[in-house]
Amino acid sequence: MIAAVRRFGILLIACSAGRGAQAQPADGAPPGRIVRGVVRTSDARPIIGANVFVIETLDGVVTGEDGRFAIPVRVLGEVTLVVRRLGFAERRRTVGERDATDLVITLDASTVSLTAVVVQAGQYTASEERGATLTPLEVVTTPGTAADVNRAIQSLPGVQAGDEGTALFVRGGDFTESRVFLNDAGTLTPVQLQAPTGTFIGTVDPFLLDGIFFSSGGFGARYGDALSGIAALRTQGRPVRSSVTLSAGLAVLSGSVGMRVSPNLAVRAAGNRTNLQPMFRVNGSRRDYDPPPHGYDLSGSVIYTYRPSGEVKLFAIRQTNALAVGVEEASYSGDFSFDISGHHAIATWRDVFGVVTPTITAATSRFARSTDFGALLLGTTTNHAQLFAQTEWQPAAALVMRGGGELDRLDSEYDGTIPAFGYDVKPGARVTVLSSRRSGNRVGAFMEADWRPVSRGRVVAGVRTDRSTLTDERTVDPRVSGAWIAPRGITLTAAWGVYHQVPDPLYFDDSVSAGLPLGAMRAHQRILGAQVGEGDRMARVEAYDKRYDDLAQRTRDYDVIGDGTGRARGVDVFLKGHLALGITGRVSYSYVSSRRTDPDTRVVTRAPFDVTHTMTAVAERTIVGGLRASMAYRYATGRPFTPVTGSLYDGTRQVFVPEYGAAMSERLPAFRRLDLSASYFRPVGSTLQTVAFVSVMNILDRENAQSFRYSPDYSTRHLVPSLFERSVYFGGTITWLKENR
Amino acid sequence: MTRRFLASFAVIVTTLAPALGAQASPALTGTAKWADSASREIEAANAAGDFARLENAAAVLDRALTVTPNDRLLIYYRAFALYRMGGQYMGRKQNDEAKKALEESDRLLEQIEKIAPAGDALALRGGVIGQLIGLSGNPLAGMTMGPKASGLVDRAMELEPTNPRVWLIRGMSAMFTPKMFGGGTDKAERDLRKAAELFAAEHPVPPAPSWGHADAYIWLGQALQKEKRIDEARTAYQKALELQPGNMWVQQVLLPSLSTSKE
Repeated sequence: MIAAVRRFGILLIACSAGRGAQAQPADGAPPGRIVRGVVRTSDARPIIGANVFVIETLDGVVTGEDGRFAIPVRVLGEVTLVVRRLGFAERRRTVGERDATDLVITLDASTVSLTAVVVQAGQYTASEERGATLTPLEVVTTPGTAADVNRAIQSLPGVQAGDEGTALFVRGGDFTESRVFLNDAGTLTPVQLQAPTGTFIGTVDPFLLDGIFFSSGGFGARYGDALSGIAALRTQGRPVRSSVTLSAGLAVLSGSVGMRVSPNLAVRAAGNRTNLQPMFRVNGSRRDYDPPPHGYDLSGSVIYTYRPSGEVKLFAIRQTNALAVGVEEASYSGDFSFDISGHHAIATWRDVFGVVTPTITAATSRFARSTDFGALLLGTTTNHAQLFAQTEWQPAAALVMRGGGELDRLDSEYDGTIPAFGYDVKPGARVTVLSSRRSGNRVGAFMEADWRPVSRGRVVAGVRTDRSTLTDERTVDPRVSGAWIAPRGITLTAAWGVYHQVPDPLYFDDSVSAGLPLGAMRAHQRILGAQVGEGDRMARVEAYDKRYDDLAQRTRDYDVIGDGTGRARGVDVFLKGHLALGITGRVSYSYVSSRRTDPDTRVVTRAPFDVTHTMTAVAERTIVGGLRASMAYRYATGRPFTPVTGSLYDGTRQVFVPEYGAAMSERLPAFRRLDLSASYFRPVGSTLQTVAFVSVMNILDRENAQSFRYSPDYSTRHLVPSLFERSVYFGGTITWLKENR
Repeated sequence: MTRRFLASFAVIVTTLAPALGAQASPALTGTAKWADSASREIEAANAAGDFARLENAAAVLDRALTVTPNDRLLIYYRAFALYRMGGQYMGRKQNDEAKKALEESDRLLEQIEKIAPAGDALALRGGVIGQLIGLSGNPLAGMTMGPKASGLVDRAMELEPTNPRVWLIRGMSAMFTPKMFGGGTDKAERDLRKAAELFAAEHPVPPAPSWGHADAYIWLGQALQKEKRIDEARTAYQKALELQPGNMWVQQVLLPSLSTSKE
């Protein structure tokens, strides 16, 4: 041992001699072999500054301008030579006692060479953290997104453009199969959130958020009750400085305050008042609204940091939205009106005790909606209570264990009437009367290991189990995903997993399901992918295969059927980088083939959201100083629909009964839209900053299709245009920042 | 394998200090002794403007972290070495290399933050992100990354309000932060003077971080020079040289630059 100590000490003296040192045995050291060689790039250029060392002794040198190294090796047997350099992938080589000394070590360029493996299959993040796919700035400045978080997520690969709404149709799945989490608490996405202008889901103001995590599939065991995708949003923490912000735009008035009450306590409050009437007045509208979409949201948070690692955060938000729009159906023309209100309150506690990080979240939310269109007159109230707890334990640098559970209670009340036949919605038509209350409790537990067995690899494996009183069955979902940084800096990813989701409580009402027993819906996902680069220069490709079983679906007559099956396969591509002339850009492309049981014919055919090609291209450039311009182009294959091929007149009910063609045999015209936006940032004095912005949506004024409507006898059909014709939107923001003391 | 690593590690901690040519406290043992030696080597190399020596210290820390990847002090000093390297790369206009070094430094400091937040690591990370803002080339990067950097320094300040390195980094950040975002040379001067005052009273116990005393005067001098207070700037630079004799940047760049500045 003493001899070993002496030997190693001498080697370290040698290794400290500086760059490119040609180590020589020191006095008193036993003679030994010297490993010599050169480190170079794949095109044979020497690499300067590479850290070359023998891992058994940590003896090494830093290469000089010629890339050469010479390291005395004073242990017997094989040794492992490690070569590391920022910007290159690490290379290890086993060197035997008789190996030649003229080693040539080739390093492959990589932006992730020494960083932890942060890429996982299907995952995208928007934050300032390394590895993020989008930054918050990109979220709010992407043209055409109207600073909406969901619309920004729609610009990522794997999300199909179902319509111009904000719903997330992920990898060939319905939007109800994706869940949004806010500070670990799931938000309500009831199945009825379908407006005549497309899917509609209230989202949180992006300025309230400091992190967005989106997974288009392959997500871990922590997330339950979702078949396709998840978006996890994190609200802002303590403000760095107290501030007041006021914004005014053509459709929105808003204000926010962030204040540090004491070193440990901070509060935030924000309010938005939305009314699209001024926007329609300036730009006109293809649809008749009375009243136009309007609403407000109020939110507030209190953040208490009782010690550097411990935080309690309370966040609450109340949102309302209402509109009435003229809708022409074959059997009835009139105003479709709906009114939505809801609130959400979340309390989160998080702390770090050495290697243990516990988190507890308690949340309650309430959602009420009333819908009025002819014979459809339905009020829905949903109360949701959740308790989520998770503990992270890091027993070793390369291993994180997570375990936790959740309790989830959903109470839904339905009161009103829905048409007995989807083709006859006029007032006085035959209806199904609903007056019921459904409650469902779900208990879930999960365990997950996040292991980095080697510096270039990462495996996340876990299992979760859930039991719902609605389905009265227990599900078990094993999930695993892996990533490995291969030579040349390519990160290879793969994921496999089973996912379950409980159908909407309404589906369990006897009046629509006729007592049909429904189980949890199931999806089986497999993903393979590769990524090169990260941050502002990256390319990513993923292929996936999803199989669905036990799907619960609604027919056009509002009946519920079970045992639906389906399959979605596709490829997603994401490119991000710098173009010429200082332009940065990103392109998302998704190809999908999505087939599932048609609930009306029970035939497996195209899914209603089988949008074969979806592409979003965004280009941005700083013109000068604080002036920035961006452009986005979106293309999507038209959605499939089942055409009406004829009709018969029912004299008794005085309505034409449509005859349908083959299920999902036709498509709407393709969707195309070009949006432009520009913003100008200018400080005024030492404590004020202003931002002015203008955007032109659908600059080519293309008439995209929302759907088709038919004449009363179904002999002719007309295109129903989507919401956005060419529209100008402008506004400004002023922020007052408190002087730092 | 584990036994071999432990043996190697024992060797490292008993021999590396002289190998690095620095004097560590004789009372220290284990990683503490080694980390202390490494920190002194980094400072000596940085002051001498000896990039190869600095790079070598960073490399040796990198090797040691393969044995004890979770050692907070080693991670901190490796991150610190990369921060110093980033500064030297920037001085040579090698911005791509600077970005790589600073991003790796940021990653390491984030790792410490996850293990247990400490004032020195939080403040240094704030300084690293501040440098990255400057390198991003995007004028709006400060809008999103700036609050993160200053938030880290603020947290460090709450945690250790008498840590002179936290005041130092806050003062340095103020130099590069527009007045409207809470920066400015007046604030920089105030924070840097406070840092200098705290450094004078600081007696850190090795291997705790002890760097920065000379930096406080170097940056104070630059703030004063920016304000055209040349004599005061000269005094500050001379004080820096007293604390760190032979500092190449002060001797060869900053002091000569005073002759071209006008009161």
